[in-house]
Amino acid sequence: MKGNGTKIGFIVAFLAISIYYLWPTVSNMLEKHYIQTLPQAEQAQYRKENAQHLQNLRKNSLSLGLDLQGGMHVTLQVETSKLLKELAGENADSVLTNVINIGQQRAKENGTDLIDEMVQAFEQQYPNGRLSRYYRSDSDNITRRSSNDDIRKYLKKQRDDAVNRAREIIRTRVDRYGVAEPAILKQGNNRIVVELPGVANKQRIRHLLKGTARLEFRLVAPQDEISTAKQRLVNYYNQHASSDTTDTTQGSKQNNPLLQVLNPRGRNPYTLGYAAGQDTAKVNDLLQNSAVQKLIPRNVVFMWGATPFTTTQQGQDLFELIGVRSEVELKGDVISDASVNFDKNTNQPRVSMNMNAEGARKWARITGANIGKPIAIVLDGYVYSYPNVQTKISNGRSSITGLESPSEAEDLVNILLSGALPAPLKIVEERTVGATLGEASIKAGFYSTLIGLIIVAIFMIVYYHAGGGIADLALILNMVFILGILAAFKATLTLPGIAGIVLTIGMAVDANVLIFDRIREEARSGKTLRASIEGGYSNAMSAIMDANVTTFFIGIILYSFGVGPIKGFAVTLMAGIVASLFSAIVITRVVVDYLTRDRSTEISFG
Amino acid sequence: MRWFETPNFNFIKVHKYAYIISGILIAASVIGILTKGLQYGIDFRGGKEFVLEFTQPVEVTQIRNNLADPLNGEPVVKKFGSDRDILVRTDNPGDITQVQKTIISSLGQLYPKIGVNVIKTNIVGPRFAEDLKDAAFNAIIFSLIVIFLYILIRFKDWAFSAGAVAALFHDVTIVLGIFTIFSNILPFNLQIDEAIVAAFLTIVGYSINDTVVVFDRIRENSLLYKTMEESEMINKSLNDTLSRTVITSLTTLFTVTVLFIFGGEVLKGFSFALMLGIIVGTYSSIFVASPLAMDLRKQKK
Repeated sequence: MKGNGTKIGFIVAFLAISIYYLWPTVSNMLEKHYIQTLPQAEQAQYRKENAQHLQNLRKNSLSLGLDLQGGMHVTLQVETSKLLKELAGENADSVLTNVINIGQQRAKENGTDLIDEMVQAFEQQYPNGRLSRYYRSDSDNITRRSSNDDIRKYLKKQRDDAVNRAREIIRTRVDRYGVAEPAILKQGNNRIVVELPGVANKQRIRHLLKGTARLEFRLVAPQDEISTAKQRLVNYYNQHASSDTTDTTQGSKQNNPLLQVLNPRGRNPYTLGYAAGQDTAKVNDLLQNSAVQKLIPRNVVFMWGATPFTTTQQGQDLFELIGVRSEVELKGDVISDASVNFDKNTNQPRVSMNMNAEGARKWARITGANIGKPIAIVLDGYVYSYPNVQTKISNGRSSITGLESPSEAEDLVNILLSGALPAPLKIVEERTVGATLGEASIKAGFYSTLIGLIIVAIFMIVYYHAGGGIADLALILNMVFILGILAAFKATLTLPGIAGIVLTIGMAVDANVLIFDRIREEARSGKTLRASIEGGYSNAMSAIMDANVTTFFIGIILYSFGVGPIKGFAVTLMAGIVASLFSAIVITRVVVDYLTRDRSTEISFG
Repeated sequence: MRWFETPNFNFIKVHKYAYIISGILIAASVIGILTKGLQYGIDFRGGKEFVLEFTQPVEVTQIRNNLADPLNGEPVVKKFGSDRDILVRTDNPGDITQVQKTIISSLGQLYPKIGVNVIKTNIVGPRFAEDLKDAAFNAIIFSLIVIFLYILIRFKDWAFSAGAVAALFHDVTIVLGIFTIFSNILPFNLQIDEAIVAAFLTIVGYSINDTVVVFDRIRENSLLYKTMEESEMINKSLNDTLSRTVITSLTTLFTVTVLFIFGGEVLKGFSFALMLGIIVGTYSSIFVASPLAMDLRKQKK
């Protein structure tokens, strides 16, 4: 019994801490249950009256992962290659584009940093060249004399800044949109992870997150240039027909890969044609081809309409491909204010914008010089509308129409006012789970835990009798400890995390199995019960430690490699090891010692 | 209750046969993996995955045929648990929102009277998928190295380290082989994704757990029975720990089976991997790891 006072002290303290941390979770559940028993009418009232208290409970509760409560997880990537080109501004040339492309390729192959690879590629190709001919910055002391290494550091700093600024801007946008408890974190050197619990409207969120808010006003290309380009492109693909199509009955259309996805008969002469939503990426691929690019007049670029101009009876959305000038007449940074309103005639939503003095002056000049011609309003590479200029606009007003819904208009205002992202963002990963699936997962997890616990508990009693009962007690306390550890460390419970707990139930008894088997062995060799117990615990120790240390290592590795839900699994696995070691070694020992305190009592290990 | 009170199986005698069985299983797995290729899930190959919940049961083949055209290529269509839940995976490179719209509107035409809801989506870009794959691969390799080193430090004998790590390779290869060979045969998802890699690492952790307990006994017995023939001593250690090995494997297998049955569709592949891993891992710690360590020690002498 020596030293058991300390052990009991530890157990009580550990238990008290666990319960302390778990209390908000339990009372949150009780409150939820209580609110549901109230009549419908009183529920809102009760929530309102106790808003502060309920919010505190929620905040301190064991938080559930997105896979359990439903929501959206998005990983965004700052496009470093585009940032590098943009930082060079007008200095960018084909040499720079080339080394950036090489850098990107190598970074992809070797899993290295694009900036390092790009600098290296430049140095290999131009041993005496200086990257300072592309990059200048007074504030960072980057001059013509700066070494390539300085440039490398400068570029990395710029990327860091870009990611940090992007994070701030996204936070502003998400807050304006109104999401409860979002998490927005930087990951690696160019990624941002956004976690939005309870978010259902994915499309709005996608636009909100990746919209760079690059607003541009461009002239629409002249009709003759567009029709020439169209003619050349169709001819080119007539000659480069896809050979795999053997069906000749439909004529040339079947064999022309461009015409298979793009209908060249647009509703006006400013378009190259139109395509169904799912084909737009294919059309883009066909136009990317460098031989094809040469067929398009130098200062014409084709951009898709942001919203479908019509929807077919089969429910296919059709998008126009509009030819615009490559020069930007006016940029969004001149916008000083934006708001949502509705067109008086059509009742369609639109975003009205005011420009600052400089913008208004330029806008007046541009509109004055192009009366009767269309001007395209381009946002993030998509044409929202291209109205004909009626008169010279001198008050600096403009508006964006062609929006799908009032909510889209609201989001656009949000994006315009939160500021432009420093570099384009790309969604590289998106995972959403609906709230109902989350609820089903919680139920499945709960029942699995309960059933697993019952089966193991019964088995232990059948196989180890009283010893098994003691191990079961330890197992139940073990559950409390695991949840307590998770709550204390503000870990998030995920579905794999619950799986980790269920797995722990099976593995937690391992230490006791080792001990009890050892006790039986010692007893077989003729020792007294007390001596067998003593020997069993001490001899099993080294095996228990070795086995758990290795599993704990695995937990650490899993934690550092995994993302989201898998991290949750690693956390419960590690919490499970710590808790089960403690309960299997310390708690059972105290109970066994207590039960055998005087020599006459016998307890059975089966 | 007592099983294996004082067992006296001659494990060492049969270890040559165990090598043959393991060899066949590993060869079959490797051939399966080489011919069929690892069946990566969305996490490691990229793409767009939607889980749709219909208000009434629907037909998988009908959906597949009807989506092939609008998606520019036949999508993967599978049941996700019940007849009403369907998983659709496509490599269509288009905009996420557009692809989702296309799927929903095509299915709306196919089943005008049945409602449909998107309950889960997974979209992973190709580059991101590569990164996840690299991270997973590194994690597995790294964990094997850590275990090799830990056992080397703890048991001060590279034969033990090699035996343990070989047994782990054995376990992971066989489970991976089963996953690859049966990936489109069994009615639930057997593709290699993040969760499955987590399961593999858990198998590694679990199997090493079993192995270490035996090694620990070998170390203890080697001090107690100095005159005993090494093979006999190792056999005794295996028998001494047999009860524990079986009982722990059983309790863990119970809970993992519960997870497989009640844990829902999301955890099916994960818990299946663990079930296989526990069975294979228990077998390998008895019949592969220790005999191999013994053979290696003999060679060294």
